[in-house]
Amino acid sequence: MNGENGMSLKSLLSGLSLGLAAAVAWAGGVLEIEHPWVRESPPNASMMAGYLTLVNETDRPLVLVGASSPQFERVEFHRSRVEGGMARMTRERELVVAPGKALRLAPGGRHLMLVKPKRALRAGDRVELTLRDAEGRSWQVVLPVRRQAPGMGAGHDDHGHAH
Amino acid sequence: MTRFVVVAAISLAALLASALWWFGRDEAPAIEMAGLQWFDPPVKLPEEGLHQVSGEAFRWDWPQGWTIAFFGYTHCPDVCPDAMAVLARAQARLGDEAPPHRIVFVSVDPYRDTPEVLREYLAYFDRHFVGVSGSPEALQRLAMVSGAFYDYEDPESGEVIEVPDNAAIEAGYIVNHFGALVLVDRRGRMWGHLYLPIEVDKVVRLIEALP
Repeated sequence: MNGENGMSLKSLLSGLSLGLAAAVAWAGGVLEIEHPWVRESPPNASMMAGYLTLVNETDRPLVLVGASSPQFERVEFHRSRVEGGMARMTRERELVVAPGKALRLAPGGRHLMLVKPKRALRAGDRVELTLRDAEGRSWQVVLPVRRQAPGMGAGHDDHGHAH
Repeated sequence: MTRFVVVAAISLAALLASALWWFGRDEAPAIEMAGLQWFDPPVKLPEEGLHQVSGEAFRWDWPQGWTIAFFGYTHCPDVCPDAMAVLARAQARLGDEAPPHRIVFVSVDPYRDTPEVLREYLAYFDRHFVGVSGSPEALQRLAMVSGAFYDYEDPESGEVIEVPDNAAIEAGYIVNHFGALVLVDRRGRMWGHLYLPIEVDKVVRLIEALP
């Protein structure tokens, strides 16, 4: 009887995780997501890049195996790097976040490759994204579309540095 | 006779002065920063087969000032828009006193980057940015001389694609491209590379130091 109750509670939570509020409550203590944003792209772009920091709050590796968004045809994990003077990009099948560690997706490095937006997104729009891990858990995250990284506003550029 | 000598001396002096001015202005900027590599002697870049988005032939020599060129592609979601945004913010930060210069984006992906696509892409960042592309042969020649190599890659298999076809376009092939800005003087000679990552401060310092 107890086992059955456990199962139905789990199903209920899985179902609820489709809603953002539930996902936040459920994700607590497993995966913390910080600094999410999507770079606004020039008009007619077929691809956009999304960034965030993943914090694994458990004592086991967290392996993200997929992502999707209703606003894009597909979402992939990609990594840019400058190697031997060449800017290269490769697709990564999974993102592994070590126990208790953070994995940063940021410009010039790992990013979410958002392929073929169903309609153009501008700064101020929001991207709804679902992340899935190898154990079948999923998390929803909302990424605001911005012209540049948070904390990189024009004010910072104009006045942030002494010459 | 005396008058001839004076005229000749004045002409010679004027010639020397203009030569000094000309060559002096074409020296490498006296600046050092991480990721900046200078060439001596500089390298004349080939331009045959390169064109601007307007359809005009593109020339590397530009008498008004230096050229700062980025080699990329518009279907690039991460590195290229990041670099172009940095260059645009550097332009906004530089005052009217900054040495004249132009920012050139060379698309090494002529299969997808039509002049129209390239024009719209660059206008998003800064309407003064110059869009350039060319035939595959012209881009290959330029790569060999400038060091700005590139190749096309299948995102699924990681294999090199020689000539992207419609299936490759549908699959969203990756372009591996040069990870540096190419610095070219008024006479179309490449003097240096500034490797990524670049920041607004760094680009501003570089441009302010251009001779």
